[in-house]
Amino acid sequence: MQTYRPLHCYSGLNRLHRLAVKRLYLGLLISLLLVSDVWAVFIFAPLQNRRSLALQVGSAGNTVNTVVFDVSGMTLAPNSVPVTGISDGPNTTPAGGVEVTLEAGLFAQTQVILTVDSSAGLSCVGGSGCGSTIIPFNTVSWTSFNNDATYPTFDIQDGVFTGGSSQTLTNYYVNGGSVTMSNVLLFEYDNATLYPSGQYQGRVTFTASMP
Amino acid sequence: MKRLLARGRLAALVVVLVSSLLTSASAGTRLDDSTSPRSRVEVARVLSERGQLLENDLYARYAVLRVGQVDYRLAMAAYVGQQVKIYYVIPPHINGLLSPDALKVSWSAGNDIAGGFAHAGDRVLVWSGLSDAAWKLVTLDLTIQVELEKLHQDANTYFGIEPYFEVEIML
Repeated sequence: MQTYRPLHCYSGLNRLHRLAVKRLYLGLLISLLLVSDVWAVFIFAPLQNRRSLALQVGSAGNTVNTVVFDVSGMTLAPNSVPVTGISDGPNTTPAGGVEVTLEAGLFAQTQVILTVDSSAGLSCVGGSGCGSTIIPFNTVSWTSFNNDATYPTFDIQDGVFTGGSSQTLTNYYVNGGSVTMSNVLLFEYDNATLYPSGQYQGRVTFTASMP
Repeated sequence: MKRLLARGRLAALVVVLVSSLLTSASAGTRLDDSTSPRSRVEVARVLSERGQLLENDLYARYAVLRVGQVDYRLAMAAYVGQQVKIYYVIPPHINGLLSPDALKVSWSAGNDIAGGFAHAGDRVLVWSGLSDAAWKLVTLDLTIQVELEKLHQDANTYFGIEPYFEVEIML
């Protein structure tokens, strides 16, 4: 039985021709690759995040304001009722409050956090008769004014000190530009626990940060 | 048979490559500007839209980069004797930019180059005519405006763009 298979005959000229065509293909491929290798003029600027943060609690500068809770007369036990504190700081509406203003300037989306440290508590002032008693700050609450109902996260809400070292009051993101938050806090001592009579003093510290 | 298949594959590859080259040419081919006088142009002073230094303007909404004169030297040898259109192209993806509209590049130009403006991803015709030289020098006076709200730039990094030119052969 005879079988047939396709037969291809190449003359010497054909082989050279095919070799030349292959080289042409190869040259074309290389030239295509080279054509895509272009450079550009790169324009750049030091447009880093501008981050500015200004926090004012009560008076400007380094003044530390005092809020006094006068627990005397009709507020004493057993008729104990909450006592509103009166600040010696700048006038506020409502009166006696402390204005907390936080202004953040930034280029891009950035987180702004306001925390308060009330861990130290209110310590007995020496010689005032209350010994070593410490009244925790979770006895003090506040009501926040000037809130914007449209953007509640950009305001300090009503609250109570936790006695913690880093209690979050506000935590929001801003997409660049400048944002100012301003609230008047009116403090109140709950006067719910009977402590030795005397004078107590403590400090809370507000901290603003952009992590 | 193997040789035939290999030859067929090579021919098909070349056909594909040539057709893709033709396709890209009709959509615009990027021009080589690697011999431009400056390949890196730094804008040292960044202003706000009110003309203040940006770092001093707490209420700035825009950063304005007055780049000034930028010279592009475009390789046109492949197009000599042909009617072409040249486009200025702003890349669509720019590091840190949250929206194409947040970037506006404006330019004025002398001689026969058209002035104009473009946002990220735009391609604007700046010249058309008979290409008669191997090189074409294009000088643009550039201003770049960036909407800060829509820029997510990490601290201590530079903002940068690489506009370029494309050519189209007019058939």
